[in-house]
Amino acid sequence: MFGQANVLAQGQAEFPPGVGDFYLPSILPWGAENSFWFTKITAMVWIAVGVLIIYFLASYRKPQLVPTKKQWLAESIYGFVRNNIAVDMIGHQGVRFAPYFTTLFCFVLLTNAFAIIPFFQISPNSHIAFPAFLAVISYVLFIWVGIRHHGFGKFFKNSLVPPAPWFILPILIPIEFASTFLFRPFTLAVRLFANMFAGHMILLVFTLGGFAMLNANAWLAPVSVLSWLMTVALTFLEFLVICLQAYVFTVLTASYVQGALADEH
Amino acid sequence: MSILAEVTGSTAAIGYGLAAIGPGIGVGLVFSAYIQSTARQPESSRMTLPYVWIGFAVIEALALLGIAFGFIWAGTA
Amino acid sequence: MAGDQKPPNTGGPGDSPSGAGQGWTALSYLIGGMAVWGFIGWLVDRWLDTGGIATGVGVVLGMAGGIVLVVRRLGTPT
Repeated sequence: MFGQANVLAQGQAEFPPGVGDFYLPSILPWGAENSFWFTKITAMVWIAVGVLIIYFLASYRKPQLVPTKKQWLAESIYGFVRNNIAVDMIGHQGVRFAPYFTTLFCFVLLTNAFAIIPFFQISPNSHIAFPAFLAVISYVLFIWVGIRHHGFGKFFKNSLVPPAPWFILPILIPIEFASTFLFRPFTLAVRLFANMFAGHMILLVFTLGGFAMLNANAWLAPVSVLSWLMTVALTFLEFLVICLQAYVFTVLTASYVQGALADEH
Repeated sequence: MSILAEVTGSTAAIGYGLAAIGPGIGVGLVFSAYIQSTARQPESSRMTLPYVWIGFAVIEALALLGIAFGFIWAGTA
Repeated sequence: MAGDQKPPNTGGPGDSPSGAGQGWTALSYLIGGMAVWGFIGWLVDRWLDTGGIATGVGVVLGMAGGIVLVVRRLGTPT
């Protein structure tokens, strides 16, 4: 972001930011033309994983009965996800999934939060690969759980054949198949991706817009301050979107697992 | 007869705009009734929720048909 | 206030998911029904080249199927 800003300040970069601005320069090998092996996005994902591992390990090093402040915070995060998402959606069987849901929730929340943390200012989830892979994991999870709980045939019969008279079943089965096995991973991935992509794009427009107006002419210069105020306001909105998307992703994964575990509708 | 006013381009969008008025109001009524009934009697929320979804499905179908027909027969009269 | 009880939230596996989950499933059934049978109708259109009629019929059929699915899956009070 800052690179573009001062480039724009000298009046080189064109104002309306495009999709191209999401392809960041590669770090290793430094400055290589469109090699995306190790860019800021990859570095951010590694940082997020590192931070999560270190944080939860450190806060559980010597767990005492009377938790220290650090331990209490980690336990409250886990407790929130376990009670409000796992147990609330899946019932007593949900405790089994609570660790994964907590990791998923914390990872998505942290990677989303990179969108508004200075010096990062872009979320890895604005690249489709990461939400897509998280959606694939959730997809495989709920199918695997369903097959292990019900057995192969019964799971597909249970999820594909609704309780309806036999003669309209041929109409219903394709719809059930499409909405359970095609739309779920697709909507799960695209919802997170679109929110993060749009959030970054909006912040880019208002920030670079301010600089563009600054360079334009004397009349527009004061308006650029308005544009930057808008950026500040949108950053608070973006914070809400970040938390909401992390929560919705985890709740829907829990809902899909619950659907797979359900005995008979 | 000379043409007084001519609408060019796709009239599908206008059609969809009109088609969305009814379902919008209908779904609003369904959910407001559900919220009021839950406010009056919280424990009835689980029992009335299935009817909310029946109402929602039947009403929302009209709006979705509006979008679909807008694309299928994008009349460019 | 008449004791603000929280509506009994069993959340058991047999129970249908909370409101948010149901909302998304209801919408996905409707749109899914329309998309699947609309696409099949569109294929029939291109095959028999009946000019948009089969797609329309497919969309209506899919919508009807979607509604039946929502009623059957979410609309039968257990």
